[in-house]
Amino acid sequence: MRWRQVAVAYVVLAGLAAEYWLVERPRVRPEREAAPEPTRPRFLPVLSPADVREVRLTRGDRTVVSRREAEGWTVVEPVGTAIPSDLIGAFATALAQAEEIARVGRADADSFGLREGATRVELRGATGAPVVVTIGAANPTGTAVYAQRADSADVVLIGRQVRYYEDLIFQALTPERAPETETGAPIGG
Amino acid sequence: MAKRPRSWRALVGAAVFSVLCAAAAARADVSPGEKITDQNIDKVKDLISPGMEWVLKHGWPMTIGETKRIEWPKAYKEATEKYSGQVKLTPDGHDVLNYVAGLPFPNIDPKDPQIALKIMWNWGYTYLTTDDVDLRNFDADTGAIADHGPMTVERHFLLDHFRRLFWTGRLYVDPKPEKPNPNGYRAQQGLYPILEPFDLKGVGALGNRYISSEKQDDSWLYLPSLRRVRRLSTAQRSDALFGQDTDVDSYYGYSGHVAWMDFKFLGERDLLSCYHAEHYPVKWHEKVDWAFDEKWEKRRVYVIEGISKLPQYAYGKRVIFVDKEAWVIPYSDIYDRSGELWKIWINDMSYRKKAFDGANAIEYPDEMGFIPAIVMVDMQLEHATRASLPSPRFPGEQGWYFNQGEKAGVTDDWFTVAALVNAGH
Repeated sequence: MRWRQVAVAYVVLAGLAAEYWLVERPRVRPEREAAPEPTRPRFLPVLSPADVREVRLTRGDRTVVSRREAEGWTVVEPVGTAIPSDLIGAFATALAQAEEIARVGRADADSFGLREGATRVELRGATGAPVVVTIGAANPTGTAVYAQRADSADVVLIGRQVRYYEDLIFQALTPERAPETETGAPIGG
Repeated sequence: MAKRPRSWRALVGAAVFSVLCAAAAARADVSPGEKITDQNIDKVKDLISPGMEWVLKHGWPMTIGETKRIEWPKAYKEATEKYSGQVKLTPDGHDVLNYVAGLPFPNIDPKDPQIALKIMWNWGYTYLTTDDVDLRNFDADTGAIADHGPMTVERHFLLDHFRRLFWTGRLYVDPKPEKPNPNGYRAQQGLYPILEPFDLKGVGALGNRYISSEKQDDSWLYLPSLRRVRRLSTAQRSDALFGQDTDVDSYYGYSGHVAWMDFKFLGERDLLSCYHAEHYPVKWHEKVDWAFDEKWEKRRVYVIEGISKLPQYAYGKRVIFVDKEAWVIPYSDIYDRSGELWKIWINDMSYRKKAFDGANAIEYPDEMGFIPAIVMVDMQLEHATRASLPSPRFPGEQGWYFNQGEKAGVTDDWFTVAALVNAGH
């Protein structure tokens, strides 16, 4: 091989190495990268879960009010209710972090279950006015629910988990019913 | 004047009748023999999860059965009584200390700040498998599902073995309660080889889990077409494999390490669950053939929310139901990162001493948790994977072999990458 051929081979190799270093390598995804930023807008952009100090849910004639304290969430209304602190926290976090899955826009609130049978939720921070939200019916596919902020006429679709946690909170208000087999049974049968 | 008392009585009678009706409606409950469909789903709306509601509304059949006791195996109960008093959870809840065998935390206190972790550790050490298990000759179908209709099968899978070998908490097979364990394994698991479809023949997966939460799982995937063994990260355990809807972390309802999720205790509730399936092998519904046709009983469960600590984890959140008595997961709902309902994993369980009546079937001294089928539904894609465990194509196949050790081929050698590769050839 002549020295010119060797030089050309080196030039080509150097070009390939540069192409790899400058173009290909940045394309390779690292094994662990940060969580992808949400691409959808937040339903409640003014509130972060850590800011929420009080949660007030009203469904029909039932109201549950819970406040964040040092040890977690304490239910202040109705008095003496055993709703797990983590459940209130999970609900507040799910709602505060909810993303707009779809925006319906200005629409008849009735047809999205946002009047009768809806749940009104107030999230209060340490300061400022409460954020008020109405949670309505599930969407036809059953994977999300319709919701509306009090300061907006737009109906949006948010995750179904918010409704489920809300259901669990109201279910916790009713007396527990243990299956027959468990009554007085020792652990482990 | 004579009419007034009658109208007064009528009014009181009407009021009492309305109050009784309202009370009956408020306490609407289910009774054995009832059939639940999308037409009367309101009867069970407080007894199911959103995922279960979705499948019922799409035609899943549900017959209510009687709630039956699930007795713990004698050896497990004795081990719990003997060792649970010494078990402690580390302050961060990531590791269980002084565990030997049995249920680590039999007394769950709702006021305990570590309650969610203790429930999940109890699930991690449940008696569903204590020593080893070999699941043989099972198949799976995956495809689009029709509303109130059948699955359009896109791919059919036939698998040879799913095996698990536990190194600690052993109760039946020597050495017990722990195998000599220089690697610090809690368990090893393998799913291989795939026999069908042809283009996936020989593919398999293998994994090791360690006692220490500081060590991530070892996970490998063997692809014979590439002649390569690919190592998977812990987060990739949540990726659906082989074109199915299922992922390794969802096996049994949840199979990830307890330390890799932030768990929250959302309370207790009654839940309809399938624990005494009558059909073995599974009986798929004639019309909605992606649903198993079984009896569902009301059970008391803990509700737990799990959010992965791993940034690349596929799911935003799991809502896991853990049975208070049996310490198993009847089903779990899975949400995406937007909080939208995404998937559900449903176990068809059957506590029984024998897979079926027959001279060749192993009879266990206690009722074991056979799982003749599982279904995983992707609600957003209207797609599902159903697995028959074992496949009805193999008459006489028991499917599940519990605590049989080497007799069932569950040896240390089987859980090596070399064995995975050899089986794929």
